[in-house]
Amino acid sequence: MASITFKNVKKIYPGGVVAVDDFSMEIMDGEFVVLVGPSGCGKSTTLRMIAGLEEISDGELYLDDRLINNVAPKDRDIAMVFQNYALFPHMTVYNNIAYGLKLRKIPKKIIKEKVEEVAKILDLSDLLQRKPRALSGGQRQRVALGRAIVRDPAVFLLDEPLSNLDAKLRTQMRSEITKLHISLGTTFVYVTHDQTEAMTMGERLVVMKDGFIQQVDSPQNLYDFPCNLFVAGFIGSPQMNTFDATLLYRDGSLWISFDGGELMLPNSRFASDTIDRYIGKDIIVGIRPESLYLESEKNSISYPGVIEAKVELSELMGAGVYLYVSSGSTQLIATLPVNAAARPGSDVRLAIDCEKLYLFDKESEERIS
Amino acid sequence: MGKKRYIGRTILFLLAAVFAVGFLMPTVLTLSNSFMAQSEIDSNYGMVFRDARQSSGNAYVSDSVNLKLIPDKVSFIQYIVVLFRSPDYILKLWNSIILVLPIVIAQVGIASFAAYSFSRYQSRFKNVIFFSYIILMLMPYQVTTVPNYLVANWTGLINTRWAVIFPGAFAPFSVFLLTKFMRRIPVSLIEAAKLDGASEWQIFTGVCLPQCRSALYSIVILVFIDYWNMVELPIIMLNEADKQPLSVYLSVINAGEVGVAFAIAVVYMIPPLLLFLHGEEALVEGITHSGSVKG
Repeated sequence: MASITFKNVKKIYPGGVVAVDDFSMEIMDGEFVVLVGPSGCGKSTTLRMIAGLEEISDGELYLDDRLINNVAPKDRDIAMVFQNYALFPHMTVYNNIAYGLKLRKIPKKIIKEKVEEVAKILDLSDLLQRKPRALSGGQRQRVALGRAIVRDPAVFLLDEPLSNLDAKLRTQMRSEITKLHISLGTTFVYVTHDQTEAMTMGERLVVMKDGFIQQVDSPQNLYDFPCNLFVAGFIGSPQMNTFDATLLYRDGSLWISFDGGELMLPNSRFASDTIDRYIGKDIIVGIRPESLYLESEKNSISYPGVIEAKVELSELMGAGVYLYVSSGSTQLIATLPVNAAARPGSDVRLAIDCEKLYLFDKESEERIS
Repeated sequence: MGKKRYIGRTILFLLAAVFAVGFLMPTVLTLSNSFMAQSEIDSNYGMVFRDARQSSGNAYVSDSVNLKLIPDKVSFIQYIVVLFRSPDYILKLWNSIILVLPIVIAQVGIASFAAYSFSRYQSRFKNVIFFSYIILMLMPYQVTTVPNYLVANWTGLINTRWAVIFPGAFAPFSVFLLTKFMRRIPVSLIEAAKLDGASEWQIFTGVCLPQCRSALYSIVILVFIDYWNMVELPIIMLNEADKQPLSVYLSVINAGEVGVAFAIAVVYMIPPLLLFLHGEEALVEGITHSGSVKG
C-alpha cells in the first residue's frame, strides 16, 4: 500500500500538445480514487504517468516519500489493468497470472500457491489451463485483475477496465472491483469516462477537463456542490438542466427571469454579497432533473416555483419517466414518476424546487451559489 | 435465368479444371516418369536430347516426344542411381542444404531483430530506413546482383558459400513482412509485460515473437522455397561446380540424363513440400492475417 502525491505535474507531448497541466493532489494510502472526464481530458495520461509508461514533462510525482519521476515501471511496485485486458494470447490463464511472479524468479511452488489463491478469489480455478481466446469478456477481465493482484502491488491502476463489457456484466464487475478494493485495502486509481461508474465506485473523484483538474471531492459533494458548470453538467444522469437567465432584486427578494417565466429565490439560501454583485446581470441557472416535480406535488417542496411547459418527448424508464419539455425557448428534462408520462405536444405545469437551483457566472462558468 | 447461371458455372468449372490440370501436369509427369526404366525414358523423350547426345557420341533411341503418365514397368533404378551410385547428386543436395539452412536461420533472426526495432522504437531515421528496405525489396533481382557481386569480390568472398549466404541473410522481404506483423501487436501487451517486470529481451522473446509464430513460419517456408530454387546467385558467386547447389546442377542433368533428372527432381521437391505441408496453416495465416492479436 502507498500514497501518491502529485506536485504540479505536467505532460507535454512532442508537438506541444499539453495533455495534463499543473496537476496537484494527494491520493491517500488505501484510497479508491477515480479520474473521470470526457475523452482527451488527460485522465489516462495521468494514470500512465503513475505507471511510468509516460514521462513526466514537469513537476514531481511521489509514491509515499519516494520521488518516482525517473523510476522504471517495473521498479514502481504498481500493477495496471488495461482497457483491452492486455492478456498474452499465447499463454494460458495460469501463465498469464504467473508471468510477473516468474519474472521475479519466485519459486515455482509459491507461484502455484499464489496463482491458485487468486484464481479462487476471482472464480477462475476451472479456467487456469485455458487460453484467453477461449474466455468470455468478463472472464478475461477477471484474469487481468488476477494478474494485477497476484503481485500484491502497492498501487492498482485501472484504465477503463469495464468499457469493453456489456451493460449487465459491467454492473456486476463494478461491484466485484469495489469488493476487491475493500478486501485488499490497497490504493486504487481508476480511470473512466462513465460518470455512473465513477460515482458508484470512487471514494473520491477527480473531475478533469482539457488537462486540468476541475474538482476533487467525494461523489456526493460533487453532485451537490459542483464548483463549475462543467462539473455540474458532467456529474449526474440525466445531466443538469442549464439555461440563461437574469438575476433581479424585487420586493425584498432575489428573482431569476428567463425565457419561460420568473422564479423567486429563497433568501435563506441565496442571500449573500457574492450573489448581490450579479443583480441585473445575465447568469446561467442550473436545476437537476429530479428537482422538477408535477405541480400537484408542489406541497412537498419548501420553495416551489411553477412554470408552464410543453411536452416534447417522454421516455419511459420503468421506475420513472424522463419528460423532455420546453418552456419558452428553455429546454428542460424532468425525472418524474411513471404517471407523469404525457403525449408530445400536451401542456404541463411543473414545480421547480427553487432551493435546489444553482447559479453560475456566465463568463467564468464558476458556481456563484 | 437459372439455366444461364448453370451454364456459366459449368464453363467456369471447366476452365478451372483445365488450369488445375495445366498446373499439376509437370509435377505428376515428373513423379510418374521418375519410376520409368532408362530404356522407357529414352523411347519417350529421346528426340528432346538428340543434339546433346550426338555431341557426346551417344545415339538417340526415339525421334518423337511422348508424354507418358503411367510407366510400362515401375522401376526404382533412377532413384538407386541418384541416391547410391552417384555421390555427385548427394554432394549437390548437401550443398543446397548448407547454403539454404544458414540463410533461413540468419534471415529469420535478423528480420526478427530488425522488425522489433522498427515496430517498437522511435527514431528520426526509422521511416527513411524502412522506406529504403521497401525500395530494395521492390528492385528487380538483377539490379542488386551486380552490387552484391562487387561487394563479395571486394571482401574476397567470391567462390565461398558466404557470397551466397550473406545476400540471402540480409534480404529485406522478411523484415518488411515481420515489421507489418509486429506493428499489429497491441502496445498494451508490451506495456503490461513491462509493468510485470519484463526486460526488453524478455518482451522480445516472451511476448512479441510467440505472437509472430505464423509470420515466422511463413517466412521460413517462403525463404526456404525461394533459396532452395535459386540458380542465378550461386552461378554468379560460385565458380566451382563442386560448391554449387543441386538447383543449379538440375539444369545440367536435364540436358544429359533425363531419367535421373526426374528422380532427382522428386527428391529435391521433398524438403520444401514437407515444410509447406507442415506449416501450410501458419503460412496462410501469416500472409493473410497480418498479425492481428486478440486479447
